[in-house]
Amino acid sequence: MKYVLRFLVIRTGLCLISLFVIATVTFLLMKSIPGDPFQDERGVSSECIEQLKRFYGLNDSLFIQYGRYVKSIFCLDFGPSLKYPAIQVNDIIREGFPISAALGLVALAIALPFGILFGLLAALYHGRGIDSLLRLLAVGGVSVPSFCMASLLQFVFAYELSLLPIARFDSIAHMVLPAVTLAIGPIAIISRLLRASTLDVLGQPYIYTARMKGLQRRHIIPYHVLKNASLPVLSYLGPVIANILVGSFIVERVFAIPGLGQWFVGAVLNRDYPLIGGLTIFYSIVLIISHTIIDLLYTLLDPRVRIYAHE
Amino acid sequence: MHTNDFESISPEEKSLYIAPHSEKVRKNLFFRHVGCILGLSIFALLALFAIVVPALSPYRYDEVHLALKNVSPSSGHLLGTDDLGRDQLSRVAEGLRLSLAIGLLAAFLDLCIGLSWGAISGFCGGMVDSIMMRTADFIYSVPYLLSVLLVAAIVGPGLASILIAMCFVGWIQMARLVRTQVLATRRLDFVLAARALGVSPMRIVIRHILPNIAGPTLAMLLLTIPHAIFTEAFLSFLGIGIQPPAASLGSMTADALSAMRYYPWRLLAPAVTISATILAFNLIGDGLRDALDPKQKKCIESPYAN
Repeated sequence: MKYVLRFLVIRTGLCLISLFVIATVTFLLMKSIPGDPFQDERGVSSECIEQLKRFYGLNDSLFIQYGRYVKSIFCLDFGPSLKYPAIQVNDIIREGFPISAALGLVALAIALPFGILFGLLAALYHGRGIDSLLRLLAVGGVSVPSFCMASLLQFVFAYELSLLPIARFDSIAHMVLPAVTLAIGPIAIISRLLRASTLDVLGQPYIYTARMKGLQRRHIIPYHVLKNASLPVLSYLGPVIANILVGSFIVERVFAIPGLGQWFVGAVLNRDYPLIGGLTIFYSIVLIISHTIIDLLYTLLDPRVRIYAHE
Repeated sequence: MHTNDFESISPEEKSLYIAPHSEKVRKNLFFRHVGCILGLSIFALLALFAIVVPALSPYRYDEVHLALKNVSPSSGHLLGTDDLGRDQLSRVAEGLRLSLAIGLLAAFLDLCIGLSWGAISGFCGGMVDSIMMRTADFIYSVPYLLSVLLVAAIVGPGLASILIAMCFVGWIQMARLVRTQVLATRRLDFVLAARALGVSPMRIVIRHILPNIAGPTLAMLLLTIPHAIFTEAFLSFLGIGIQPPAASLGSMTADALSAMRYYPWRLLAPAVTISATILAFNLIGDGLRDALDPKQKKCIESPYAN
């Protein structure tokens, strides 16, 4: 327990440093975008824009702006969006994230079982037809861009066959197509990783030992094979979980889902500085949390990886 | 006189040197090859398409015929026309040319930056290594989509902007791979021998280390091509990549999506073409990685296969 606490303390320190770095790089990048947030407003006089800029402190020196930015991160309060002044950035995150996260969890619930199933099948029937077929499908799965997959699924299932609703986010049926779109990439990658690691594990002496002891196949595969082979999959899942939970811009745009992912591109194009900052920091926090959880899970699955080895 | 040792031994001896491959393993190697061959054939077909269509087509990709808007596929326009009456076939071919060019260019730029960065970092070691790799980590820490968008917004729309945005982050993976490889190679005896002979560090890296790490680097290089092609299509799909009237498969998909209900044929051609292009490069890259990266090459027999 002491080690776990210590791990968490060190980990938190490292996380704060990386958050700081991410925030700083993002600040420098977003301030380098030419133009200002109000340049696309129509029918607004230049005095008015000047006034707006002064109001939001955009005329101050970069250092003062950076100070305010860091303060907003520490207080986790990013203020109003510059493009939509009636909405607080925090509210955008509060309203969008649950929707994206719900969709993401459904996608993960699809991706994990199928990915594991395909990976195991390919490895257990290594070199047979089914292995080659699954490998080809996996390459295909990572090759079709998400926007093509989303468009094609929408076209076939929602429009041609009229089986599922075409867009929006009102019921379980609305979640099927976007969740499948989100799940296809991870299914392909999980099955590839798991195939490779399962082949590795199957060649290990302890599998032969287990078989010599006369253990049943249905015991060996989950407890001896899958447990050891799932480690590479686990480390792949860290960033993927964060990505999927925060929401994909493409999927949310094609299926008109009011999630969090849809805000990213608009925020950058509108130079909506508080929104960019808020989204980046929120995403990074989710990423860091999911990495930490994955690391803890790793130690549970593999006793050789000890978290206090960081000393 | 130089004799080939392998030719001079008898077949019985030869069989001692060659691992007996079971039918199954051989089949698997064959299928691996099939992946690579499939990828190469798709690539050849696409390349042929990209060369032949613009040469033979009576329409230019940006030729507007407002009288012939959204024509369905016919003998006049094999893939129909878009909402400005532009020939869809010529536009797909033009978009494919652009995708291929971007993929190759981006991979080349990534290679140039990543190779020199990783090689210098790995070979110098110490402080230089720490500073160079931490810089890379800093850039890499920002979410990929966000940094690409930000850089694209900084540089402004257009082809150059897309390339710069992709390479801003793209080179880091390559640099990391090259650095690890260089670190593993630079302690080997042949490097020591070269140093003892007084070969300059620059020459050691170029003549002795780089040829030894060419395999994994090449495999990595090939896998950055589909990634770059995807990113360009993605940015163009969002409307911040290639600007009209230039044709990009991504922006064509986006345009077709909004009119999917009425003119579905406009969706299929660009979506299939971009997927096939990425698929081809992924297949070739995978095959090459299997062939060139010895760590990946495993012929383990599954005890449960029978």
